[in-house]
Amino acid sequence: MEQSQWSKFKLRVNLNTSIKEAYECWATPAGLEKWFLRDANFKDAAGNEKAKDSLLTEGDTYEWLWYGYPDSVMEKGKVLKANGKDEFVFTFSLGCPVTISVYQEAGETIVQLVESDLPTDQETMLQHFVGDSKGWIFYLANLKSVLEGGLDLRNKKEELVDVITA
Amino acid sequence: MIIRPITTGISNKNDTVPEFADHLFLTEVFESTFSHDFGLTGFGLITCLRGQTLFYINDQNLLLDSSSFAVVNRGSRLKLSGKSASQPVLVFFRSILADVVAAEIFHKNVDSEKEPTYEELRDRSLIEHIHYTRASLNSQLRQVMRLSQSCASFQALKTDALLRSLLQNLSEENYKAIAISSRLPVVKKSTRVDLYKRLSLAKNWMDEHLTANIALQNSAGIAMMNPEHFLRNFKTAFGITPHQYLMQGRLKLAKKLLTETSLSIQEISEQLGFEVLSSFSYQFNRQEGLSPSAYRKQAGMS
Repeated sequence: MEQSQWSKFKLRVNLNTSIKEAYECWATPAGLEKWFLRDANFKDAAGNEKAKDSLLTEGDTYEWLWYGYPDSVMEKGKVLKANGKDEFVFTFSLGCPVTISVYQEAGETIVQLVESDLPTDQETMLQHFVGDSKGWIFYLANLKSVLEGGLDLRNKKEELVDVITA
Repeated sequence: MIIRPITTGISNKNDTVPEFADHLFLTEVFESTFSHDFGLTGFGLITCLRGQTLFYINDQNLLLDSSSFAVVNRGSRLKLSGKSASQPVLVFFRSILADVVAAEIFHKNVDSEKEPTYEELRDRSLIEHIHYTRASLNSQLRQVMRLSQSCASFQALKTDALLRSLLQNLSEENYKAIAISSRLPVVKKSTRVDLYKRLSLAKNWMDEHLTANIALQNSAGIAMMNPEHFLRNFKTAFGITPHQYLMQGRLKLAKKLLTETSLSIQEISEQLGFEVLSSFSYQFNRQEGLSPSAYRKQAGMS
């Protein structure tokens, strides 16, 4: 694999749900808390807190907290694009953009995730490529589980560490 | 974040100040006595999670264990030595991120009484001294080490978040230090840094000994200053006398004990070092506007 190929990865998951519901799982704070985050706090560009059920828009900033971790493990970032129906882009690990596209294929709804611009220097390349893609694989599987079966697979205990579910 | 053994060191060829493209976390459990010379370093923090390590930062000798840590300023000269079974930890922050965080804090506080220059913000010499560890630092460092070897999801991102939170706290402390030290009536920068460090050392020591019977001479001794000089400069820097500072700390602790424990008011008063209960009640009432028992009742504890 050439070094530049480590700068980006694509993951897809098929969901038995509508495009609208899948989109809202990414583009509303309440949607994100259903399958991904313990607490999703967003503010608009003027610094006002967004309601949990509001649709997120370009320029919103976030502070995310995870199940299984204290509040000191907080990820901060920004919504780069939100078209209100099928495309949602936000900054994530090291500020790299993550692009979510939602579309139909073979009668099912596909959520496609592309994380790009990952660092390709030797020492950090593998930990971010492997660490982030591994993390998203679990959470995309959890998205499917929550939407289709109502079972949340996340570890919610802080005392339980070193598991792929948090 | 990159994690490495201490003996692999940091890359500062030709004795230049190193720049860090990512956070660098150095740690190692030594099996025999050790010493290591890093030459010039970047901005970071140093501590020792097991045993003790003697760190030399420029002309300071600091013996650190798990109850203390120190900040290292960008461009300082660093060496360390210790005995077997010790586990020193050195964290150097990603250079660009450290600058970004410092600039963010600067922009958030533009209304403060003195706006530091960018060069001042990059200079952390004011906080380059021993600090007493809040339990959370050790737990964060251990969590960073655990996460770096963990199969947890997004482990690289989560270790970065933990280190960024440490960086944020230190940068805020540095900003405060710049603002406070600017009140000191000293023109020469090196004298101001030295004076601020001495006052901070005494203040941190008081935090650690809140419940002891501390006289002005004791805290002045920690700052290596005569009591009158210490009192005058402490008040100029922090806006209150050392005695008022101690009292504030004790009453803060009193509120915690009143709401989080079932200790009697008498026991709390004794634990906080008050000689008589009436003195504790008087001081508490004066600050809070109600008695300790009324405070406890209001907080929902009987």
